[in-house]
Amino acid sequence: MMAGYPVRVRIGVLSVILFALLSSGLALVRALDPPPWTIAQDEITRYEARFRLLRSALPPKGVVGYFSEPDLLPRNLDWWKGFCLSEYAVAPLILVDNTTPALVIGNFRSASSERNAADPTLVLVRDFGDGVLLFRHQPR
Amino acid sequence: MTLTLLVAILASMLAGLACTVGLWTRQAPTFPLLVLIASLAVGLGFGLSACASFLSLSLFGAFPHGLIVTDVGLLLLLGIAGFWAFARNAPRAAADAPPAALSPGRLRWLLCCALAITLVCALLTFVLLSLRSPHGAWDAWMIWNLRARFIMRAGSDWRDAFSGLLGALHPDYPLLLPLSVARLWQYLGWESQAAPTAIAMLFTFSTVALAWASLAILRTPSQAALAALLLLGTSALLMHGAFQIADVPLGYFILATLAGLCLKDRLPERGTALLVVTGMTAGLAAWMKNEGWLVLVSVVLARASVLGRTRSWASWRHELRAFVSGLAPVLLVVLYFKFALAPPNDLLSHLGWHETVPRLLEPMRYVEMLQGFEDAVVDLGRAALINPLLVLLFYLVCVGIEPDERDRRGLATGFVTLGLMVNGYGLVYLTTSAALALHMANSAERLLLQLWPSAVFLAFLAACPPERSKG
Repeated sequence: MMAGYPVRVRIGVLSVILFALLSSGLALVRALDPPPWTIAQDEITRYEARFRLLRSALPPKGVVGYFSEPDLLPRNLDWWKGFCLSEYAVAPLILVDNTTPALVIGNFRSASSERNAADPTLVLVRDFGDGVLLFRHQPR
Repeated sequence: MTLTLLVAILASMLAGLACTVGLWTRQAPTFPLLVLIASLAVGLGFGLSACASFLSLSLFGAFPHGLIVTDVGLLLLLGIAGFWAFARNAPRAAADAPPAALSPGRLRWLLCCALAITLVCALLTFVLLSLRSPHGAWDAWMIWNLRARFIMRAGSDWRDAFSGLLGALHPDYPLLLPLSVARLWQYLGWESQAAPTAIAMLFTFSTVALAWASLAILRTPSQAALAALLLLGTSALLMHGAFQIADVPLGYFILATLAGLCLKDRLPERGTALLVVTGMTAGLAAWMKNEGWLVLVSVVLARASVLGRTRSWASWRHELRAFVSGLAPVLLVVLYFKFALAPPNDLLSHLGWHETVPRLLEPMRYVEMLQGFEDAVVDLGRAALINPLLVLLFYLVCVGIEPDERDRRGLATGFVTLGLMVNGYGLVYLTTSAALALHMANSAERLLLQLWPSAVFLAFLAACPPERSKG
């Protein structure tokens, strides 16, 4: 195949070629397992779908509070992912991890989760299902 | 939708093309030069369009189709300037060195076939991964695409994207990527995930094309093909590219800067044009990610040290003038963003003397940092069959090192730059207020990936081409 080249050069060149062919082939096989067309929706799109109705009930801009299950500590990875995905879904509203703003989003892992609001002054505005709720502060 | 997306991408690429006019000639360019110009046009185009979009938003606020109007303005401005420069300065001769004799028959075909198969596999893998994760990986949607949504959705309140209330979501990060995505969305009229995917794809494959074209001009077609094969076989590069991670475009800008300096040494008649482009790409690195500042400082220091040792300071000053003329417009935009809009950086704001000095004096942190880098090197090859770094080292051992005399300055600049950058990353890790092991586990592999395309380019520039060893 590479007549006239020293053996060490042949080995060097063939090692790069083999590496590239095998690695890219392996990457392709892994990308096909499972084929993306057999997956209904990716995680982010699924998560966003939970917030679709909520978005229409929120003002177009401003600051909104956020709370989740009491057993999820703030900055715990699951909590943090839920918070970030919620922000991604409701942007350009700014989400803060407290219940001070007038409107507060409750984001729970399931519809049947423990939903006691962290703040007793919060009243439920609407339950959008699938663990997504909107609260507001009751007038004093 | 596809046609609109193509038009939007073409608009920015044409703007980038106008910036490379100094490399054009009145003769038809060679194929490697054509690929070099096209791959440079991708980064320059998206980068300068994002600069123009930011200036337009800052000066005139958000208005319907504002980013498209800005694009047309930028294209007209650069197009006229490019045409004028071409008419005045374009030489009749070919701009690149005469291409080296093509590798003899069988090796050439072997490399062409392998490259074609690997490229098809890489493209398919990229598309499949993008279909699986259209919003990209965590960093992509949490930082870059989120900011693009703010800019697209908030209208006149687009500055909300930099609110201090979003502190943990890094609102201080620069805007090349978010503004590029928002620009394409404005063309499309809706937030299609095809936009960030297309940008990620262009940057990923332009990185490979840039390495191939630069080496085809500077070395031989076989060296160029082998470097492209190694990069395409680096699964981490493809995966992070498909997951829309900004470290891949940053790697592109580092490579463009270092390759530009090497080409400048070899093509002195196009030297000024290449230095202007290099200045732009170095500035755009800082417009892509905060690590770009480290790129900028490292390149300037490395070039100064190399030219200071080998030539006079006068030539460095001459180079610096051309470099700064490309860098300055971009840098002014980035500085304006940093001083007028961006909240303080979370890493820098925790760097008080009382906390930082004890961290620097703690020996265990050095051990932990080295361990973190070692893990990152292993991670770089985790998705591949073998670690690509091992393959590169094995190749170098097999063929030997034999750089061209004319590339010594470029090679020295490149290796010193990469060395300074690794040291810079190390310093950031040593002084970080975050838990060091976790911080490194989350980022060190991506930092190495930023340097990987440049390391491959420099290694193949230094390696002895197979043709030369043929009996």
